[in-house]
Amino acid sequence: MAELFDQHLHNVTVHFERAEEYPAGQGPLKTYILEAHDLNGSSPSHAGMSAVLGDLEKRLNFQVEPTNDPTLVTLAKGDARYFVDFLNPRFWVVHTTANIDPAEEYLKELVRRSWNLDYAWLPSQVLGHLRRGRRFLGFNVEFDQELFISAGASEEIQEQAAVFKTRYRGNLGEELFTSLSSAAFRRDLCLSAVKYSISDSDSGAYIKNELNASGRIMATGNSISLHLGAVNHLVNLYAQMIQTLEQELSLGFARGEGGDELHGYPLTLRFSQPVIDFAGFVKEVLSCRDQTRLWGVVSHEERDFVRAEVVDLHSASRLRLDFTPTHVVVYLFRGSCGNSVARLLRIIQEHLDPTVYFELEQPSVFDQCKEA
Amino acid sequence: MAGIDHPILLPPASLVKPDVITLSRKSNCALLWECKSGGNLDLDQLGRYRELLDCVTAKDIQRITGIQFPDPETAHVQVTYCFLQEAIPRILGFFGSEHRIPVVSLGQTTQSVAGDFYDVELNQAFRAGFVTPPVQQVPWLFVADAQTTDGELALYLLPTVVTLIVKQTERTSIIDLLGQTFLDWQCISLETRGVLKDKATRVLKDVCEAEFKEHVRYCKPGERHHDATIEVVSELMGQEASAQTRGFQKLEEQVRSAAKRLNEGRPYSPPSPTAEQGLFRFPPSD
Repeated sequence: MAELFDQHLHNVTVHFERAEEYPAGQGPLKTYILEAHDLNGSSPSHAGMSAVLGDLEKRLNFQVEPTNDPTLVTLAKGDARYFVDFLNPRFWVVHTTANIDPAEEYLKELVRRSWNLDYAWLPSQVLGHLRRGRRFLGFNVEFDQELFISAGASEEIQEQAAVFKTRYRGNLGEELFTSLSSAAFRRDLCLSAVKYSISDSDSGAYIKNELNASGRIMATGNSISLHLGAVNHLVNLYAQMIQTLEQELSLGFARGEGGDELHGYPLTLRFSQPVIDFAGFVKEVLSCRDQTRLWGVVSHEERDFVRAEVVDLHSASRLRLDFTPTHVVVYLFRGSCGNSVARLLRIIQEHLDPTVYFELEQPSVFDQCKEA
Repeated sequence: MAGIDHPILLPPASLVKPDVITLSRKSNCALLWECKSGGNLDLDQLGRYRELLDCVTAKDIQRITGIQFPDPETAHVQVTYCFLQEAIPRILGFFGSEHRIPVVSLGQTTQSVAGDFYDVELNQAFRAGFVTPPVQQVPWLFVADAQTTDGELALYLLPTVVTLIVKQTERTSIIDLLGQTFLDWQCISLETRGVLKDKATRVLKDVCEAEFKEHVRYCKPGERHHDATIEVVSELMGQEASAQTRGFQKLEEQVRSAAKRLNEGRPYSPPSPTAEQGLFRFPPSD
């Protein structure tokens, strides 16, 4: 696989911005992180992978081919062929050189129609962290508060909803981003992609990566090793993030030395400003629609407070959410998936407040990703 | 946290049922909490708690409730009453000079207003008082007890049934479903668990034959399955994306409607075709 992609990198020179224009198989190498569960919802094992892959073959007509490496298979559908590395069976690394449109379309079908698969959901702060120490070549910001505005909301409310989307490529990425981050703009600035390069001056090897918030890395350059190194760093960081959320937050009572001890705690996501349209916010979060994919029924409601019993349709996880105009409290039930919390945070960042972040009780991997 | 709603028998036949039992291993002391709004004080109950302090030992509590003291021989058990602040002037006189039973006032400040805790540090902390967090910021971990209504139970249980529909889990026992729904299930006394299991069985049987008929089937206990179970028959997960989203949105409406109906004690009546059409949105909302 590495030789194949190395050859591809050497033969193909591309601009990410025009990825859809290249002939079939001539676009940038794309690598995706997917989060996976076994068919019974538990954390997957290598032994359980054949059942998961068999299910994809049967339900979605993906052709699954083994390789010489027992933790690597190919999945194919239409024009798109993917190499799926499940060295960590919970967090798959999926590579493809297929053109971006079919590659994304089939992958979207795979994730959307498989409750046990989900994308990675990188907070804005983590994207910012991953650019540091690398040559910063640009960024995308996408912030749109209109999603959480009710259809019949007043003109006054609608006018308050901020939308800020832009893309910068060039040598001034660091200066521009720093300048935007330090302004009043900060609370409308949600990083959705970062572009950076990594190089080895001794050998002349380099890779340019564009990493987006759903864990896709597009690559161009001349070194597959540098690309795989960046991917490895990302997947390990993301695995650590999700496992930290599950270890810290997963709620349940366990028999202790004396009695039943509560493990985990509810996580509070605090907003820097009150929500513009509280009803619209709650309704959209529990709408079952993409990308939130949360199903919920309200169990308690009063002025400025809604409690809902919630199911994540991506992982069948059980949660409880307390909504207020200033914060959301997330109760992650025992055995539920940390990716549900990561997705909720990402969606809140993109549509409500990019400054919201994980504030855990113990020092954690998230602290290192905060702005220095 | 060591137990919820455990009935404690006082020989020969009277009973107390503290709302919560907490245990401090450090001080080898358990607190039996009786939490009241203060609207009424059951003097008989107070008398029974006084009797408990006279005749029940920590070893008795350990045997009855299953909580484990670090050293049962030297352990202490205390009863604590907790009231809303506005009720304190009205009820405080009933406690007289009973220093064994601390009385805690719950208002903007949480503070003990009578009696002493055995644990010195705890006593100092409650005597000094601390700011009560707003109720909206108090974690909502204990949601069900013997008084939980059928409708409330449906609001908690049916989302767990939805997880089974998503996972296409073939069959699950009602006991397992309760354990997945209530975080504190194993802390709840066997008696309260029994009440909740009976209610859950009744609620699920009803809803499986009504609002959730297309998705889940109720199976009574039989030779193969000792406990009542539910079986997923839903085809929702096989549907294309927008139909699936609409299906889940409809499920949410059905859960709300089932909860309301159960609380009102009404039997299920299928929605009329026009009402059914009203549930569909156009254009598709996905």
